[in-house]
Amino acid sequence: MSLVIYAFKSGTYILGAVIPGALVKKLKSKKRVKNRLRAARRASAGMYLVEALVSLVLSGILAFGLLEMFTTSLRAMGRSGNEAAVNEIMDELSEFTRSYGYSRLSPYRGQTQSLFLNKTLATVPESPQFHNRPLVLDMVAKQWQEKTATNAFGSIDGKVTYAIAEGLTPDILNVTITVSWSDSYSQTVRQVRRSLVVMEIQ
Amino acid sequence: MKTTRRRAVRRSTRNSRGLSLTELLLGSLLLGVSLAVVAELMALCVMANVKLTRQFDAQAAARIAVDRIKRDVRMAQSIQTEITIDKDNYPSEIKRLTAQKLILHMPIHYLDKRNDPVDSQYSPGSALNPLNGITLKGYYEVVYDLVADSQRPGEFVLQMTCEKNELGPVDETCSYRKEVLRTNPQRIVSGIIGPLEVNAATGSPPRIFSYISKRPNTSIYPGRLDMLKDVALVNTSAVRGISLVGVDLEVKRTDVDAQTAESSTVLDKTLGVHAEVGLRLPPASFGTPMDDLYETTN
Repeated sequence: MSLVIYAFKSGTYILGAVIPGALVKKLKSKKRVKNRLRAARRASAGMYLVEALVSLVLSGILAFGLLEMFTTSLRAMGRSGNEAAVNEIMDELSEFTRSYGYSRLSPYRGQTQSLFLNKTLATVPESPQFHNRPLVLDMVAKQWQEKTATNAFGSIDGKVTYAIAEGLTPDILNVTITVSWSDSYSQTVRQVRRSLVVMEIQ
Repeated sequence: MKTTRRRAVRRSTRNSRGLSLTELLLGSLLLGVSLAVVAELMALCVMANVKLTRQFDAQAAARIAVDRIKRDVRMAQSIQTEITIDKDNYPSEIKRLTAQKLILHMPIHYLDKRNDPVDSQYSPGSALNPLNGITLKGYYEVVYDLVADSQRPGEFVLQMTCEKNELGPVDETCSYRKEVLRTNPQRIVSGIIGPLEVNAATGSPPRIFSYISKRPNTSIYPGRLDMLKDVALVNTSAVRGISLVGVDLEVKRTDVDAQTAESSTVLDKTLGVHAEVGLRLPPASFGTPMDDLYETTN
């Protein structure tokens, strides 16, 4: 057919037969209508519900990805906060160890003291002879904003132990501070340990 | 032929009629829901970012302040009960040791300017002066003072002043601490709102310093480090026995445009830090023998 149309376009004959001009026009017009209809159908198809749902699912996946990223960063922030608090405890107890000195620590040789953290309202501390003040934030003797208090050391059951052991020689003590805790949304117990050597200075 | 054409045209008209109202509404609804989710996420992210920035700001400010106090306490020779400050053209003022004021008695050590990396005359190639480290005549007092913030009611500012009470003749070759030669108080940290005393009245100043001393004669636990009561801070012998200084800071970071401490929002961030730092010099072997000057009774 295209050959025929082509032939008439160029105004020549095919196989010696003459096709009248009216027929040619008719054929052309029919073809044009068909093409137009096809194009119209294609253009007016619009968006189907399936397509909308697919796009919704895709944006949902994207949104959940963002949400996951957000919660992960929040958890990481919480973990970092707890690690900062642990460092604070370590520094405080290291300072305490230096201030206490060999002579005061020596009687506790071979003992492990369990110290108490914030939020503890214990009237009788576990080791009153040693360090009777809460670590991190003093929730007992001082009043903090609720917002600050909840930020203090996550929602954890932190534990601090302070072990004094015999050193290589009798005039040396090895002090080991251990802090263990678990972060929010996690059951894993994390632990940080620091050792200090305390010597007797003659 | 005509009929076929008409049918085709009708079909074309039906197909090209565009979207129906229902389709439009459904599309808008779906788009709205997904946009709302994205907007919510974005808002959360922005809020988290603001909170995080404020948290870091508060953390950095509190940490710098605590580190600075720690360094000074370690360098201090002793803690003073009070000092008199004489300023030019002002009546002399007495500052006393309290839970809001820390007064440190600092020795002055010689340090050759050529050996001090922060001095303008520092010379990396020059040999170390053997006199570095010797104690010079005189001393100066470092005062950490918590004062109300005049611009933000309800908040406090920690200031530091160096009072050169008995500074010997200034040695031109010695690199003095920069603050010694400065007269105006230096702002260390602002936005302090706590911690307060338990059941404190509204507007009470925060209690940021606590003083810990080795208690000599507790019958049960001799040598335990106990907290001194406020009344002990006027007792010179009790203050001389202080071994540790406790520092508690509760810092708030809020909108810079917020005029008062009360106009708080969910984005405000408060942060608390606690530290205990020991004096390196001398220290006294024991504090006061009077049991009633300690917080703990047993």
